Amino acid sequence: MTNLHTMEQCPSPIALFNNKLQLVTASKAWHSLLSEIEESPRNNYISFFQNKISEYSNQLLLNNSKNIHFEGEVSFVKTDTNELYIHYLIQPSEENFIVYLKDISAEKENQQNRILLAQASKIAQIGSWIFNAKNDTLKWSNITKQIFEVPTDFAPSIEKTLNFCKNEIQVDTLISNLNKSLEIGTSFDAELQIITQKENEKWIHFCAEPTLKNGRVHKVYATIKDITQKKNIALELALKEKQVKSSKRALLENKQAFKSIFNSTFQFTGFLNLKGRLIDINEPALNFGGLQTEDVINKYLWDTYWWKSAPKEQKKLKHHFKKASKGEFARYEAKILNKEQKIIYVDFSIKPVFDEKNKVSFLIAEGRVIQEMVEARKKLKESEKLHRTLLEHSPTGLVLNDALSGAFLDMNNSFKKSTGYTAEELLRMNHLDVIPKADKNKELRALKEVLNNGLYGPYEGHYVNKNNELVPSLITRVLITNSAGQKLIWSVIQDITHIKEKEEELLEVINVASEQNNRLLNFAHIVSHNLRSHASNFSMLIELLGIEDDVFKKVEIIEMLNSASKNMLDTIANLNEIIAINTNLNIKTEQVNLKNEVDEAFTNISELIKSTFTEVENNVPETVSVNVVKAYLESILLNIFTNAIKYKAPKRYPKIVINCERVKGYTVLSVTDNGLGIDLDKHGHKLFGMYKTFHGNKDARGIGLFITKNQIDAMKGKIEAESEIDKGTTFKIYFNENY
Amino acid sequence: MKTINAICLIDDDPITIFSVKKLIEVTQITNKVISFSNGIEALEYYKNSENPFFPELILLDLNMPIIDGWEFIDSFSKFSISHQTRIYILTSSINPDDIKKVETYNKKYPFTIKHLIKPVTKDKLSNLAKDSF
Repeated sequence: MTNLHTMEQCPSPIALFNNKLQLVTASKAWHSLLSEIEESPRNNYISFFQNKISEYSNQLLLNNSKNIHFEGEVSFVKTDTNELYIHYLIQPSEENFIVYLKDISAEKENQQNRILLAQASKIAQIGSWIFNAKNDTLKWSNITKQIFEVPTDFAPSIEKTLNFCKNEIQVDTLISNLNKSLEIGTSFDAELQIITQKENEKWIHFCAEPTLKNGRVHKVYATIKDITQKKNIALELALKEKQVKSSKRALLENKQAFKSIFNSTFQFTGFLNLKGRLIDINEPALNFGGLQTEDVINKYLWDTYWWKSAPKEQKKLKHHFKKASKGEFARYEAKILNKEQKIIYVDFSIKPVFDEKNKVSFLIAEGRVIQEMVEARKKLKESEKLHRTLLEHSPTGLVLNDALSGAFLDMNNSFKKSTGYTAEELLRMNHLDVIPKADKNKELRALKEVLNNGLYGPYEGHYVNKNNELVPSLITRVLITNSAGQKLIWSVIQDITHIKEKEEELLEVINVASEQNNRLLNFAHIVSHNLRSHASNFSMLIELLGIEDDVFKKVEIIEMLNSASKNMLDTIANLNEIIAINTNLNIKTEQVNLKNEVDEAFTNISELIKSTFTEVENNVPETVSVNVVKAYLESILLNIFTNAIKYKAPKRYPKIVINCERVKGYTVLSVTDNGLGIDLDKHGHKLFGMYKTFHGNKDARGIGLFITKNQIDAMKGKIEAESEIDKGTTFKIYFNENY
Repeated sequence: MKTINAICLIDDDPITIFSVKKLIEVTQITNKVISFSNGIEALEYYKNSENPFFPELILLDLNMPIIDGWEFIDSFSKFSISHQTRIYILTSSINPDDIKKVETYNKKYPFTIKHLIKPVTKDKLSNLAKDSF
């Protein structure tokens, strides 16, 4: 029992269990130690030790009690949640078991801390640097060696440590800090730039802590951490910050510059939000309308003064704003009010500004005054319209060609009409396409003149129309250069077809008139001459009648007077006939078959033909018909045929051959005989004259061919003669097909 | 009054020949008158040198068949006898152009060519004789 009491008083934790595993007694220390344990089924230390004793007793039985004790470690959770580590030792004592306990919590923790530290420094890559001041030795941990990239067998020293440093100022600071630390025990830390043995540049954090022993610095512990990455990031950050600062500054400057531009530009410039309210507006815009900022800011743009010109303008603006707010650039000509309430034209645009998500964030409204331009444009349009009207309605052809290629660029109606081409056709054509081949060289010379002198004409030329007919034209060409520097030729073309036709008509009229005038004059002379010659005969005969005394001779003179009077009547009759032909302009014409007419004429003189053994040959085709005055045709044929027989060659029987051909608007009847022929070089000029006879025949009156000629002229025809002395004569009678 | 050796009359009009011959007879400016109805016959007369005389004065009509008065003068000028001959052109024309043509012919040839406007009268014939030489 004394033992039990002694056990109770034992300063170490000790307990006694009986063989029935019951706790017999325990020391106060036991209780005090285990009292910290939290009460829970898991922490039932009594049953734990009971189990262990039971286990041990079983072992003792099996091993024949070779083991004299049984020990182990166990932990329990304390009420403060920390672990209570216990070393236990179970010793048999007679029938009982003594359990000794030892609190090993502190040891355990220390051990764990060391492990943790090592793990931590390994994970954190923190190296250690321990300087022992007593024996002047330096120790580097493996991680330190890794940081400095030295082999594991590297023998470090203070000096060597300093040699790794890159920056001399940092070295000086480090030395003085180390000295201070060794002398007065201050702790310090520094960031050092080092160059490792493998020549890599690194930043390290050096954190030194001296330990004191007996009032003296015993050791200096330092941790070394590779902070290169952190440092670099920091440096980068610093750099970035600097950049941000400078860009901020630049932005500020830009903003100021923008603001000054915004306010000093002549343009109307403003910002609109998505609703169309004015967020900002520049001074010129305000000045333009005589407005203050507060008059317009935060108002719908279309409700502002400028747009009070007309509701239509407000509507237009709303429409374009809508378009722009959907992301489209809108631009149109707006009419806005200035401070004098005058409507001014403005080239107005609304431009959407997009954010990074490509959504419209706000809009820029810009306006530029284009009043002068619009007015000038209006005037230009009016003048253009005027020119176009003049161009289109001008009776003169106006046409524009490229000076070098000759391509048609523009033309008016008059030109299209006179050439017969449409605008589409002409625009595909070239200038020389409408110039006749015969005029080409002349035209090229004209174009050369235009290019050299800027102007050529007016000159007479021709165009070829669509029907390939020549269009006589009076042409003037003018060189112009357009705003693009292109050389163009304007041509003024007067279609002078009518003028030409009139000119020809006039010429013909003049010819006819002068011919008629000549004939009239001739006729007057004939009349005067012929009548005078009869009159002078009368005069002479009457004088003789006065002188003559002999009655028989007087009778002879009277017979002469009779004859003279008859001659005079004949002459007057002839002249009458000619006057009739020349004055009877509206005489009836008819279509006759030429072959039949020739045959009929031969029939009428059949007696003469027979008696003179004349051979006749009528080769006129049966189909030929001519429009004539029938009486004239009969007279003409009769006269020509009788002439052919009358002036026959003395040694040949007469032969008359009639042929017919068509020559340029005329049906030509040719009458060929084999008669005397006539020297046309000598007599040609008076062949068709009045009272001209050439052969001395007694019955030649010199009037037949004169009348024939007059009759043919009256039918707008003509007559020609070819002759060779002693071979024969051919008369060609031209019947005008248009008569 | 100096008489003319002979007068040659060339005209295709028998009435003129008759009348002028009679008037010459009456005025007695010459004793010999020969007449031809055309120029060719007259030229043939002058060509024949065997003829007893050649009239020194010719009264010539212009408007005749075969050859006219002008053609006659052109051919006649080739005869040497022409130098001693005067030609009076008988014309009823009072056309100044015809008168001018006479003057042109007068200048063209070395012998005298004048005109005598019809009708022929005694006075005109007498003046012809005075005019001679």
